Amino acid sequence: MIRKRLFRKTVPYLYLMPSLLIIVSLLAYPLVYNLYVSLHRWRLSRPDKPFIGLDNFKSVLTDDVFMGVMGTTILWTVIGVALQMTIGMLSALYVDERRRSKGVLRSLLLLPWVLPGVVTALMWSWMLQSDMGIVNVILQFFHLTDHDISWLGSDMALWTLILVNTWKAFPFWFLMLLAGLQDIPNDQIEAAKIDGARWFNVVRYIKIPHLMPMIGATGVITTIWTLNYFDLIWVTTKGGPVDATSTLPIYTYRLAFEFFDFGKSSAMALISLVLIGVICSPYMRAMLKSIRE
Amino acid sequence: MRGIRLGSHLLLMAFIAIIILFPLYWLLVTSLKNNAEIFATPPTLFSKQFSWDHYSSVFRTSAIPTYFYNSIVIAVVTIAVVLSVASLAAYSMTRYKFKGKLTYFTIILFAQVMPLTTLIVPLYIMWGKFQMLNSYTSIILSYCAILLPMAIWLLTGYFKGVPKDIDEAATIDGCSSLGILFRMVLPLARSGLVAVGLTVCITVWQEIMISMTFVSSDAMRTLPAGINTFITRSGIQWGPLNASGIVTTLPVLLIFIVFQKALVKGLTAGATKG
Repeated sequence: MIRKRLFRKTVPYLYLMPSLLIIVSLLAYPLVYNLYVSLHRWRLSRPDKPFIGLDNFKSVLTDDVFMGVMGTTILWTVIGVALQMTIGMLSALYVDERRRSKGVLRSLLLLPWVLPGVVTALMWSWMLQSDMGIVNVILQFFHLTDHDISWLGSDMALWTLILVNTWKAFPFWFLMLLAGLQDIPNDQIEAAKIDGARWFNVVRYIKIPHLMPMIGATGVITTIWTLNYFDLIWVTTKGGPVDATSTLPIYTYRLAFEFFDFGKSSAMALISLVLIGVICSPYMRAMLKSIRE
Repeated sequence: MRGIRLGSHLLLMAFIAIIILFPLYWLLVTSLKNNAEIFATPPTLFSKQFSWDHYSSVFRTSAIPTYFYNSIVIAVVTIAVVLSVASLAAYSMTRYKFKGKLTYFTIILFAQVMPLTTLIVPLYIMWGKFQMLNSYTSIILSYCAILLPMAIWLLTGYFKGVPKDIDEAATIDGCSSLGILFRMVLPLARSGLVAVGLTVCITVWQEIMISMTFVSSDAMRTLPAGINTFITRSGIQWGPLNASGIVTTLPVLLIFIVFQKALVKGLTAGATKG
């Protein structure tokens, strides 16, 4: 009897064992190790790795590049997410009202999202070539510009990449908001229409309030994704020209695998982690609350 | 009035179609042009004569087939490991009460938002110490670790949807705890498994940071990392590059077309319930 009860108590833990093993050895331990590395002068060129306390953090935070990288990251994330949300919202509102073509439009609008990031990057960098790219040719054909625009040059690159990333990432917003819109009971909208509400007011007073929880959750997820997004920038510009498109993940990666300064890179990674923790702490608190109930 | 509305809808749809499809079309057309036509000014909108040269050079003289094979092996094994490990965990989370459940869930939630950059350096040092860089094992295990929290979180939602009465009925019929998982819960939560599997597949298929850092030998490279090395070589060969882009995209595109409903359901399920 006692053995049986003991067994019943250990069963749930047995099921958790494999996942715990992976999470502890490959997520928790590396995280602690990252902290350890960040407190040492850890360069691949030098065999000694002395403990230097918070010097790595100090040198990262006082670095001239750091402020630039932070600024770029904020622009990249804030404007990127705002654009994704706006376009996602407009397309969701549009598709939600189409009865017949809903399925086709949904597949079409989801396409960029499933496209491999590397392919998106090379496809657009081919189209945006300044001398033979099709985008410049089209713009000149319609007389929208009379010279070749250097899309990935230092003053344009960040904005170009934000737009390309919007092209790739807005479908997620579209999908989430469309799902939310389909949950709204039809009679509410019908009633409002009978009362003479115009389209804009229906959207503003019924649809958007209904979508608010969804907007919050999607906002947090896409902010984290956009902030951490690496593929597009790495493949197209590697953070250049002259750090014009260096965001946190790009700069952190370069510190480690181009300048081989593991200590500084680890410090930078921890700073990003804290930043992300701050951004999503309200969301995590809400999630935990819903689980406890 | 009706005509105008219909017309503007058609116009809007055409606009959406062009914005989404033209880049893909341009990728395809470029891959089918010969070199002279690729660099022609002004560029031709359709390729005048189809040439499969870039594809044959991609398949015969480049390492793309090897990369392709590596990507498939890594994706398949990762999906299998993630699904089985996450199923066990999610089963435990939804069917048992135990101490530490909330702590476990907090860890799962936290792990999902951890940026990859906090893991890349320590993992690189770790795999280096074990002499496991340039191996399937290190890449697959790293992917499993990153994707597991998301999988457990999503599957927990799906398993919650399987009614508990079924468990009791099965227990009375003499079904063991593992038996319930395999015979009852998993078949009933099939759409969840498909959705999670697809998400894992799409993520692994396009991941570059881990694959380009942990792999330096050509024999072990995956598709995205392989194409990426194409682009940095002196003088970009746009023809083969576009052809390998198509080769990389096709499998994902096919999977997307076949499993679209499951994917959409899986992506939106968590959010609409929460």
